[in-house]
Amino acid sequence: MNEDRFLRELGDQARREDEAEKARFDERWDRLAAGTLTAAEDAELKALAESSPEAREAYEAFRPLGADFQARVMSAINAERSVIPFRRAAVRRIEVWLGAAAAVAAGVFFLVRGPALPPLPAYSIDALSGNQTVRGGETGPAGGTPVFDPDSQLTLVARPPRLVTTPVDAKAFLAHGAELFPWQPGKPGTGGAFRFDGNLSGFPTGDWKVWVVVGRPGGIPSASALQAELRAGRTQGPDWQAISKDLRIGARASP
Amino acid sequence: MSSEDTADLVRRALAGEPAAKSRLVAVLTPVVQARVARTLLARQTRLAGGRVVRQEVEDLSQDVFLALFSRDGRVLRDWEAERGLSLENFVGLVAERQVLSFLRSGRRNPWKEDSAFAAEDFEPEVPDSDPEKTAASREHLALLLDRLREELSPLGWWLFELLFVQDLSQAEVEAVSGLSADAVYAWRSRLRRLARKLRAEMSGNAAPARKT
Repeated sequence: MNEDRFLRELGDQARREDEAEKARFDERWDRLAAGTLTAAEDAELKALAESSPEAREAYEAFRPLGADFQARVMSAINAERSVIPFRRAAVRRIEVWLGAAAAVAAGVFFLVRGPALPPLPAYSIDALSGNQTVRGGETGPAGGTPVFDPDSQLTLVARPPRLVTTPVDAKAFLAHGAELFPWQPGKPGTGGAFRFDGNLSGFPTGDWKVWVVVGRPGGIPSASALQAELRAGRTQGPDWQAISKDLRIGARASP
Repeated sequence: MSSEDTADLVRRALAGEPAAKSRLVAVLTPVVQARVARTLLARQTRLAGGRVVRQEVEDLSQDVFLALFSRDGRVLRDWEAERGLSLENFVGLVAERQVLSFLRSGRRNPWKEDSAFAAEDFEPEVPDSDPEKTAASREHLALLLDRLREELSPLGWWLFELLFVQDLSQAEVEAVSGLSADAVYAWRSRLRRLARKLRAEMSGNAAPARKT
């Protein structure tokens, strides 16, 4: 097949895709994003959204992002402009002061107190892994909450939805009822992901929640501060976000 | 907004006027969101499980704006009103590329382990007689089309659309794009080169194509 014929086949495919897309989402969906639907059209799309999970998801995808989104974008654009010169300045500063202990302290100060960084994307936690068990009366992984042996290792990974190249840190906590305990610092991986490895020994049996707090260096709250935030129903602050997964620590198996 | 007003707004935003930048973001947000949503929903099966589409639309829309304005607005500066490609269409193409890159690349989609474009996914062309094979062939063609979209600049994709989707004549393409005959011929050559690379990629033995 020569290149022109191949390009024409791709052109045909593009036409087919365009027609299919127009059949699936007519121009009302663009006007939903623009917030310019008439009341009747909005009611039609809302009714459609109620008809299936896919339609609901589409409605959510096109629902206007709004002024908050635009403010975040402006903040991210402005931060991006200011971060680059800052980094260059920091490198020059470190080069000049290399070897002097004061340089390290100053560098840390500037990293922590530097210009505003772009907001972190919403992280998510992969499935928890460790020695899982299912006993009578306990819910196994298929039922939702994974049940771990009391001395089990626990491993989890928290990932951003897109590459994070700005400074970021993470810590994990374990919560049981109203109590919250520091558990493990995150081991940084590529692109802003963090891995947590630790064991559950010493924690009583019962229902637990592992909280991962991701934030800018120096911005992660202490256990007591986090506890207060969570009690107040807040899972994020200006420099951090907290995400969680449920787990259960099962009873020790009889010998 | 007239094309002159749009061009003026872009010029002022690129000059760093905060109010113009803010207005441009407000004007383009629905365009970017709708294009991101359309591109993502049409390829939802490639999205790793458990992802919330609304959240992805928001994150990717923000990425599109960052791509437009980063490095002193290098991408946005590529838009030229007189080329016949509206700002909305130009920005829409940038949005499509951003989504496709996100879906394809492990780098931009760190939780996804299986690349939709692994070499083994591409098999030799199959005859059209069997409906299942036809569907598979269409699927490959769709993947290749996405690769083409991702590799081409907005202007390159616009030229592909004029030449091979709308099937316009050389003279018509020159008139619509405002490009000289030589420039349109040069684009034809680039598109052919890229087609060769993609076909080689399909057989799994080529280096990744460079942005055209």
